[in-house]
Amino acid sequence: MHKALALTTLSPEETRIVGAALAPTLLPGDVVSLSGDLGAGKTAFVQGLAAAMGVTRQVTSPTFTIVHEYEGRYPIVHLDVYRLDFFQEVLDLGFEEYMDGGSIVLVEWGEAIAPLLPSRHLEVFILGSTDPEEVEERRFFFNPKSDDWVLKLEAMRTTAEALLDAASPNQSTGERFGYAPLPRSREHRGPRAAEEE
Amino acid sequence: MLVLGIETSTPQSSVAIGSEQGVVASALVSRGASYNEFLLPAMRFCLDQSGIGFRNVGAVSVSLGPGLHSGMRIGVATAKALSQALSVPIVGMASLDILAYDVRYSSRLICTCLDAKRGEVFYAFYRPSPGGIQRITDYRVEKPYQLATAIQSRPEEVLLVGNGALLYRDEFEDLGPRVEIGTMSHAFPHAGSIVELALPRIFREDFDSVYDLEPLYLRRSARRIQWERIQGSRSA
Repeated sequence: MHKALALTTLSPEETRIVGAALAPTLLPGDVVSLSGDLGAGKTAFVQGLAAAMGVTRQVTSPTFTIVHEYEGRYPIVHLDVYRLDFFQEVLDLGFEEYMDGGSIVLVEWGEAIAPLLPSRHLEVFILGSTDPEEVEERRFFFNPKSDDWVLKLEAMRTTAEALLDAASPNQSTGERFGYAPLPRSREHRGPRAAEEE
Repeated sequence: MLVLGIETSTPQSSVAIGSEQGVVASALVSRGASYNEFLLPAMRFCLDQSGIGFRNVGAVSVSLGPGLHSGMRIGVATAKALSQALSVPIVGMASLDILAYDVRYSSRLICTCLDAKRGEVFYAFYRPSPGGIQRITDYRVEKPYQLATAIQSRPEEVLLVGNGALLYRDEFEDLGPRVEIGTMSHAFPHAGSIVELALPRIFREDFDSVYDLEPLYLRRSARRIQWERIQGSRSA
């Protein structure tokens, strides 16, 4: 079990910067699962990531279109399983072929279809702010599922710190990062968690 | 009778046009373009190069898999659309049967084995019979070691072909000289063989229904996504 890397961003722009910082670590075959409420910033994160990979097309949410494919330095597949009810529907999209290793695959709500994901992938959870004063604040948890993702996250952290510092020079960003356990409710996804909701 | 053959259920996609005189044109690709990008331009290429118009095509034959999910769906959907648009009959055939037909000149028991991903293989056993082959088992999807056990339990010598056999070669070489493993040239079913295998069926008017024809899904899952267990999701 690896520790999750936690990070706070203060605006959608910063969320894009964090996405951009992850981009240089990604190679075809890498799978990233993104979870977070509607409006949490999943698409902003992917926008930053795709732009940093040289995608010139506009990146939009795939919630209603299910799958978007982009051509960047490597092919990127951006999909959202939110509107699907059955595992078979995911497979019918050609999900296994997307996982074949030719593309970087970004799956919104990937945790819902965890059995279909490769054992080595990155989980990203984005939590909205509960503070009414800080509605733009977002808490990120990067949960590496394998050792290579731990290394990639270290590289992302260094890049993100530099980019965030450059974007807002008057603000020290160093302490925004830390290693933290996943929020409790994320760890207990059994029937009890469902009841609590 | 000119027959169009389509095989997109494995990583090697192919299209062929042929008749009882043999294949007149074919196109094949094993990497790069995905099925949907390959299929229509490949048909165009075969038709243009052989000077055949769509209107001369008398029947469509297509591989139903078992095989790769999107490939099967795209191949079958395209074949059905052509069959309807051209008002010509359609004939579907199993990928494993096509592959077995290719190696029918053996006295060994034939086992065709295609990579099913997720550490599994599709396979079936065949007995060569005069002029063809006879399938003696169901189509199965299992782990390579389970196929190795199935081969071991057979008294006959076995010819094992297909990309699954090559991928899990170590597993099968352990079975000793009783098992001969086919080479790369028989790793995938080919559209040319589909045409050849479809012709007898077309002549005896043993067509499939364009409405009922479906890929051979050996792994349909009825499992629901448990959204109620995902925090912050649509059911929370």
